[in-house]
Amino acid sequence: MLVYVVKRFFMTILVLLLVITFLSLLVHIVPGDPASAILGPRATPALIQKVRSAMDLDKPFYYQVGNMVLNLLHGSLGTDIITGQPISRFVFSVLPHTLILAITSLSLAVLIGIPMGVFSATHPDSWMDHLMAIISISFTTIPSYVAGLFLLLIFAVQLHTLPAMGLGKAGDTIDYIRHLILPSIALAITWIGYLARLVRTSLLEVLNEPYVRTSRSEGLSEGLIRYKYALKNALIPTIAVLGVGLGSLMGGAVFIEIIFSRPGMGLLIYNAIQIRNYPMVRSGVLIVSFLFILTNFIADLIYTFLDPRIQLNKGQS
Amino acid sequence: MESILKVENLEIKYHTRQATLSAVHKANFEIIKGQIVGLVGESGCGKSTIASAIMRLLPPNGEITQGKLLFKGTDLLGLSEDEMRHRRGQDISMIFQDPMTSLNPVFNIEEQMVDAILAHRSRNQSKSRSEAREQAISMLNRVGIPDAASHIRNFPHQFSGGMRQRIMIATALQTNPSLLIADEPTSALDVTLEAQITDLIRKLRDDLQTSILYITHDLGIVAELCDQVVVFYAGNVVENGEIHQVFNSPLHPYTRALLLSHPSNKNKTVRLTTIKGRVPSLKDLPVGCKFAPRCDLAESICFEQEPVQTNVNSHFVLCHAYAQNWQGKAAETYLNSSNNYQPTKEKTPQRLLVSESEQTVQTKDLKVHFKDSIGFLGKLIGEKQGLVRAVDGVDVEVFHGESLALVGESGSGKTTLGRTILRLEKPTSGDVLINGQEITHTSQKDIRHLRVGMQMIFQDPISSLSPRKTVSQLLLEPFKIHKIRVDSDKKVDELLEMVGLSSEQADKYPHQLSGGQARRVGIARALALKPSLMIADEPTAGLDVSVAAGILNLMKDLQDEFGLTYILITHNLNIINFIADRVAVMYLGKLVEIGETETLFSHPRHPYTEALMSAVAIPDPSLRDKRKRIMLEGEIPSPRNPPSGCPFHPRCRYKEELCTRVPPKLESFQNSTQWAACHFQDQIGRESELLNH
Repeated sequence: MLVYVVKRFFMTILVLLLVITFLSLLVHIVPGDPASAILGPRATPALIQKVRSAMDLDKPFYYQVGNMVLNLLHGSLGTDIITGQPISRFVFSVLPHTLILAITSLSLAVLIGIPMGVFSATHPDSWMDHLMAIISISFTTIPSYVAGLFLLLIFAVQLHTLPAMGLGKAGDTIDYIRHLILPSIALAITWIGYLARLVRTSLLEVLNEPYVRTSRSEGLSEGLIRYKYALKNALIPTIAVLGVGLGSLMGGAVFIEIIFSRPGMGLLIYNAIQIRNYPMVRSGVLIVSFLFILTNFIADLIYTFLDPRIQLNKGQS
Repeated sequence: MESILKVENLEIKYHTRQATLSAVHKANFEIIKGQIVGLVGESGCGKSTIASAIMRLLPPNGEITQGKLLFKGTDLLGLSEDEMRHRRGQDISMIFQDPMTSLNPVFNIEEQMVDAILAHRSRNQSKSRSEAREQAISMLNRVGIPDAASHIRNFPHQFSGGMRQRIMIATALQTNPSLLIADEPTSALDVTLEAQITDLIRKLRDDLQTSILYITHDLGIVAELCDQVVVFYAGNVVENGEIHQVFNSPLHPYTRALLLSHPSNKNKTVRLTTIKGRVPSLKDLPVGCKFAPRCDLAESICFEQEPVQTNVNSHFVLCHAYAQNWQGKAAETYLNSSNNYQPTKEKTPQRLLVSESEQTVQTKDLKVHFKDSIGFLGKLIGEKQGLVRAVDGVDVEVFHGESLALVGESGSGKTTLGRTILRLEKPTSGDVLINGQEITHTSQKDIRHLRVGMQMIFQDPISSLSPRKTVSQLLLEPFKIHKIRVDSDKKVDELLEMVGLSSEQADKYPHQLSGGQARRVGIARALALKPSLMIADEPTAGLDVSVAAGILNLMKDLQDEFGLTYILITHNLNIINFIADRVAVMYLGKLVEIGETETLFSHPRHPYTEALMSAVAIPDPSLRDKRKRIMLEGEIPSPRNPPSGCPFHPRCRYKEELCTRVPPKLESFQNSTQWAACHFQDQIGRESELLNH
């Protein structure tokens, strides 16, 4: 186990180094000069040069990589070029909102999608199964930004039942939750459909496994067989998908945060890209990458908990 | 004599989109308390359907349309689903074929066993989980799980195959049911484990007086274990009687043929009996007697009327030949007069004494080790890299025109050795010589030319043929690979004829072939380039007895015709007796004994050979009590971590202190052609000498 964690830790460092390198290269590859983009068309060459050197753009990319690593070792993400404030202040003020959005969406997907799949698998070819198939397949095909726009139009614009923009009044939890409802549903819809299909398929498969036949021959009740013995097996592939899923939800959150003007990592990175604020983009993407790796790691740990056959420390057996 | 289960006129149908198929037709048989009833027949005969029907666990499209299942007088078919559920596992238990997949992989043994007990809580009230756990542990101890109390929390994958089957048996019997249905419980296991499990089943029957319905296709096991035999063919009980009666004087032509097609040392020099045609599919069952199209005795009545069950000395048979108005040949003459008994050409004994120049294959201190892949990071942080010694120093010679069988339990390294001889696996050290030419370091390009002369018949007949190619494309592929021009149509016909297939098969795809046909195509493909050496990996695995008999006959004929050299990799010791000239026994990557087949069977010098040979189930119930069987304890250790000294010492009954330290060398016994690697081979030799005289 410990060996596995150490291995994963090294892998994480390696991936993050690659991300930093790629992001630093990006500045040199993408056309257009960030300094003139920030300063606008009327900036003097001298001023542009000053900003360029403040952003380390006049130095080779490996200098930027080294600088960023050094900063990280000091627990800092660097300083924002526009406001002169530490970048971490921006990042950590919006990060919780994105996390809450992603986790709420994921929970919705799990709480709605999995029961849908279980019901379909235990009632195969019934009319409800067919209905669920239609619902879940159409859900899978709706991109989150389309769902977001429709929800916004229906519930905020037409019905006025839920707020459209922002986070709600500061310190008001109820209001915060009201503002969370539409974005999280929009983000969850694809995953509800996807999970329902996935769970249906894998549970149906498991119900045909020889060990389920064994359970039946032992006279166990159908409920115990389905919800205890079969479901735990069927959830294993689902967990693997969810690990990657949380990462892709963060990506999806960018659109949702733009549509609902909701402060978060997505909006932060989006705004930074628009003004070519590369240090900010770099830090934002780095944090998202790190979270992605972290969720995958957690998924792997849950995996071993569900399936005892998977040994994390293979070499030590 | 208390009747436990009485199956009366049972009729089972499967509803498919196209038609309603009759899977079981008018089945009648009875199981008495404490009896083991063998249900035998080839695959597709409806054996497992009967088992599912008794449990009332038929698939949704299966229906019991008629008949009764009287369990201690109560008709199971009249019970509600909930009442039936309480019979399952409580009164009637079942064990299945594959212990690897029949236990739930994500729950520990305790959870599964305790739930199986508590599922019937309403009957044995006030049973707590810890009481149930005690009950489970005592049953596990009883089936031979060492230190069950501390292992019960383990998961299925932490047990070996044999242990898992023991756990299955413990789970099935912990509630002390009156009837146990065993559906091919040993066909996925090695012969030594098979002997252990059948022995265990018999002991438990003696102790608990459980009645057992034992479903199998292996006549050897039936002869070892059963009191009564029910022979099944195409959904019909064709014969039903006491074990000795059925084996000594089989009545039904099918039973006669089945018994004669079983390879054993009795029919060493004769051809095995094959049954023409194949088991009919449920979609087009013949009218009248279901066996008529394959029966040589069949008269016109057999094709028109269904036979009725006839009683001959309380031994039931379903055949027109026993009716009073039968005009044809007597059933007893079936196969006795037919030309199936042709002896093959007498083998010249010189073949075994050929000079060194005629070696086709020779290996010198051959080693094949596999390393675990631990990756770059693993190395960086100093993980230990495991080493599997699949083949660990083997010297073997195969002479021109002989058949050498490589035997041993799974994990003994026999398949790796076979693959390495063909250079499909690269040896770690040592040499392989083919016709005197060293091929260990030959370049890939030169190996290609050599491979024309050496071919392999792969284990899984269907999956080793590309599903996207027709039979004729498959047969011509070897010529394409080696860029040899041939007259395609003629060649395909020629090859198909050689393996006994009609030219109609040429345009079929592999999935349209039966197991036996696919195996024949595999053989034809290997034969295409006229090799001199053939390596056959489990050539009869997964085939029914009568089909396997056809394959074995074919292999023998081909050898006589083309002077092929065979290396047979198998764990089926019955076929060795029939086809192999010499046997090489492997254990944990090492050769432990090699010698002529008959000598090895009658006078084994190595304790492992001795145990292997005695574990073979022989289809003769009269030998059951006469033969003293040597039970091997435990299972083959992991080749990652082989025992010190003699690798066999932990399971050996002759073990002494010397064996734990010094690995024995392969030595010839009194300068004969028999070599064994055992410190006490002289002593074992003398003992078996005494036993045999």
